[in-house]
Amino acid sequence: LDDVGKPKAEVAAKRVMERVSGVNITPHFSRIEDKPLDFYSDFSIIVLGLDSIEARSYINAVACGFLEYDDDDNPREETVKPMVDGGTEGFKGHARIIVPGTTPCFECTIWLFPPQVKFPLCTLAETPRTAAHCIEYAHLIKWSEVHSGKSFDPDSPEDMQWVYSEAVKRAELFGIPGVTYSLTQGVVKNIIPAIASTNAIISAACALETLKIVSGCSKTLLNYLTYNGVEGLHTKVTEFVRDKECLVCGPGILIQVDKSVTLKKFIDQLEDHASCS
Amino acid sequence: MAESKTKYDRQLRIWGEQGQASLEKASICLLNCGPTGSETLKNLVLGGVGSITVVDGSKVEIGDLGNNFMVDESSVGQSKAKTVCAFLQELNDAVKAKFIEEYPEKLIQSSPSFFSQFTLVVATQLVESSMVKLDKICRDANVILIFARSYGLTGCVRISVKEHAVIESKPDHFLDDLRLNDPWPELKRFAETIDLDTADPVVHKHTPYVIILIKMAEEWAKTHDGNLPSTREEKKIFKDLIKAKTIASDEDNYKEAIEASFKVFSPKGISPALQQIINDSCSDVNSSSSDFWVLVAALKEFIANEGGGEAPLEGAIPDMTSSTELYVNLQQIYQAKAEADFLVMEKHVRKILKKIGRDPGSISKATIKSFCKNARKVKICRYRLIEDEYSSPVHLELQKYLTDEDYCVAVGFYILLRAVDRFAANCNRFPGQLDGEMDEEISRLKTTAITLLNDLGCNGSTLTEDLINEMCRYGAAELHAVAAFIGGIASQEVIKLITRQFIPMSGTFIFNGIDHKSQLLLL
Repeated sequence: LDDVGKPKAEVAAKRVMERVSGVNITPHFSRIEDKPLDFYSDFSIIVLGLDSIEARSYINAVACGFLEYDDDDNPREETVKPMVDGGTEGFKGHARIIVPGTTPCFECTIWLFPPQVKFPLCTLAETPRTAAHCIEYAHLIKWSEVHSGKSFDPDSPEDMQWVYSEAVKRAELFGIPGVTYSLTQGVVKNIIPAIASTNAIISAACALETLKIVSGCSKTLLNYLTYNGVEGLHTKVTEFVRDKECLVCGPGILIQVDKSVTLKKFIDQLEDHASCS
Repeated sequence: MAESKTKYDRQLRIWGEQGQASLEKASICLLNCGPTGSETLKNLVLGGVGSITVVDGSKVEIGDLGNNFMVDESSVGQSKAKTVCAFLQELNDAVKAKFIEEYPEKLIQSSPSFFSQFTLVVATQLVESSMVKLDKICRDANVILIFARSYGLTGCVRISVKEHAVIESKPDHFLDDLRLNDPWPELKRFAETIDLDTADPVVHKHTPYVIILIKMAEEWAKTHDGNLPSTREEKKIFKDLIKAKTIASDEDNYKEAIEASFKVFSPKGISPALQQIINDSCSDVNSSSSDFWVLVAALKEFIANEGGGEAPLEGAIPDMTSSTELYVNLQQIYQAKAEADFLVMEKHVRKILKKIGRDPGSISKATIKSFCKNARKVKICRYRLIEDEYSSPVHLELQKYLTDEDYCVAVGFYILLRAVDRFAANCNRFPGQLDGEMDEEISRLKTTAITLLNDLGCNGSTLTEDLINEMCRYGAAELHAVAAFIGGIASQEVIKLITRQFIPMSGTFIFNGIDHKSQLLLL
């Protein structure tokens, strides 16, 4: 219990090293964006336990940034930095391996993600129907009306309590049931329900793949595993294909220019290029 | 209590207070606390299970330090059960943890009554003969049993219980219960008070699609002999009629109506799955029937009489574009009907309880209400005895698996997991555990596997050389990552079984750690 409040990285590193002798774990209590690129280039493999699309996009761009192609548009093996990524939500989860230049990268398959749920403003402002509408009204509209300038802090219990009581008032006004403090937190913080067992399954899959990539002891996952434990148990492996024209992991398009070319001529050249139709 | 609310917040959002309470009342027995068992229990301890008893007769060895997170260097030489128990306790001080330094095989052989005290037994790394014995013991004592095993890059999980009824199955995508194809009088009357062709454009675009579809369906029926659209042509015409009513391009309610029009075409009455449950012989209840079957018997009565072929109304409606007032009114109408259906169901339940000689109040209102809400989604899971499956697997399925590209590796592992147990029964060790002589091991395992296939009536079927070599390569090793995966799967099923929410897996889960193309085999 006295771990609460301390940096997760430091506590986890300490615990694991205590339990497993001979292993070396260096914790870094920082945001992934705050590390210089050469920090990441040191590693042979990067394993991700991130919680947002943005974070994954970022690290994907970093790893794919190291990738270089030879003259035949084949990836140069020594510049390939594989990644293993996992994510969970309730009884569902996924694990995937990304080998830049061979498997699709995160951006190649960005269309896999369903659009984020956003309520239309007119629903929130004029025709709320559900408890979530009332909560988001208090959170996104009423807050700035009353607290102009001060931004809402989801980690502040007082701010959360304010949003909750405003949501209750609005719900009462419209005769809408169901606003609770727990729902308020869930909607405002976009809390993803989580259970130990799903996290265990996905992290085990990621660990297994990492071990296989590093040791070469077996074929690896090709390349995306989804897991769903809501109705019985379903696992599925899909082999997604790279987008050859992916802006992040693709070889790009080779354009040859004369040393004497001017910027205007170059732009004209680009416009005339076959792929800029 | 407030502390546990925050501690368990993330999982409470999935199975709620009742689910958490069921977990906290449960007592779990773990057989063998190697990596597979330890990982399974770790997840349950974090989840707040009531009590655990770890049974293992072995001592911690140096080799365990490389694959079991619940032991450490200082525990080498000590009882593994004691060590794992202590480390598990550390994860959650609200759990009561006990250990018994004894080999599970011994308890299975000489103290079968030991198992009756538990809600559920997690049996890991047992060989076939012990599995069969334990299975019978737990069946007789009405204790839920789950087997879990890790073996190299493969492994398996199998639940064994005579019958598991799930009311709160909470499936992902289940059709809402709007009855657009057969609205009841109050709903019809409400729809009549609304004019679709109102002149006010704001009102026009805030009429909920439920009303739009009910009114348009009624109009259609008037000019089609009381029938609703049924052919492809008719359905298209119906959708076009809806489209024709739009007066502006931003009318989301009409877009929703077109998208939801299939709800008007869907057949009335209950699903085949529910029909099967109603027709089950257990619905013919007597004094020893479980509450679940009494509820099903009441449901049968309801459907045949007041329900007119339908189950009780669920009562909830999805969000939809609408004015607040109309939406709230609609909600109230659906809730009122659900409440009325519930009261009728309650009468049936009480009457049946009396008829079978039980106290008519012995099933609570809350339970009956929950059953009514979930009536269309209830599920019954039944599992064969291991002995029955092993001696006579469903032949058709087995043949199918052996010849199907997607299943042959999984069923190969299933056969090999049994073959290595036979091998071990003869040679006192698993194939590949001896250094050197690998070719001999491979050939011996191959013979054992073929004999087993013949015993199962699959003469002529064979397994690939590659797979047999793999199995020998594993040498019965318990890899931590594999054990963690198997433990995750097993613990998740345990949670579903104890909370009685969500549907547990059926059949045997065979893990394929080579390419992750794991499968469920229904034998």
